[in-house]
Amino acid sequence: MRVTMAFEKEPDFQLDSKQFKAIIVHSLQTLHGQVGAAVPVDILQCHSQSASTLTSIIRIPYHELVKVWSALTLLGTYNGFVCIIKVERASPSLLSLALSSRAFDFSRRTLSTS
Amino acid sequence: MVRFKNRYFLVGFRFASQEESARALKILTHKSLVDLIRDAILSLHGQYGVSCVQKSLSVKYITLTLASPLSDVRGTTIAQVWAALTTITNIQQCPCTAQVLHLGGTIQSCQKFLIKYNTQKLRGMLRESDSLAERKRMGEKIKAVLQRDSVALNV
Repeated sequence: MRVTMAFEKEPDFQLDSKQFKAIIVHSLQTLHGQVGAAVPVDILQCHSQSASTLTSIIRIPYHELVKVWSALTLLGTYNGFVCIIKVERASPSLLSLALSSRAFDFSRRTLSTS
Repeated sequence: MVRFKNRYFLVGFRFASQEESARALKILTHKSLVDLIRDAILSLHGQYGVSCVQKSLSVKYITLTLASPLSDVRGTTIAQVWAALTTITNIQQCPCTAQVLHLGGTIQSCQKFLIKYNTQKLRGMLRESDSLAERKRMGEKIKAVLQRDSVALNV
């Protein structure tokens, strides 16, 4: 899944892959308890656009998709900071996360921003 | 047609000693037990688990001898509640273990099971008793209990 996280105001902690993993586990524990927190989540790529926004590609088991997606979507605050997590794309293959045929402009044969 | 079904858990709480059992039973109420089960579900299954169960979770009976509450819960969340019940480790700071003895569709089926279960326990105690006088006394008590319960439930 490719997900984007954004805080309303700049948080007082550094937003990196370790912190993002902690946020994901916190969201799973809040909504689905210890069973949810035991879901194996791997962060394959993490990129901070600014101190308050982050884009990441995460890997989860297929049968836990609904749990993880719902937990990420319903996270409204973390450590008192208002935030939002948006799942941009979910796919079983990494190649479809890298490229999307919907973003390809056939008339100009160029790739628009996806 | 879709039929509305309930499920009733018969749960036995085992304490370390009789004093702790008596102390817990004195302060145990229906509401406190429901809160305890809800906290266990919240810990194990989170807010989603609590929301699945909250509307239909209730405690029907707490008996004096075994503290066996019956919870009324819809069929789709049986596994969640069962797992949460087994994670209960203390009641009002009294350490205990919770064991789900029976899962039934009606309260009457749980009561019938409880009678059979207690009868088996009493017979086990009768076999293990040492003196003849104690055996005789226990035998008479078992007969009286069986007669009373068979009349009550028309078994």
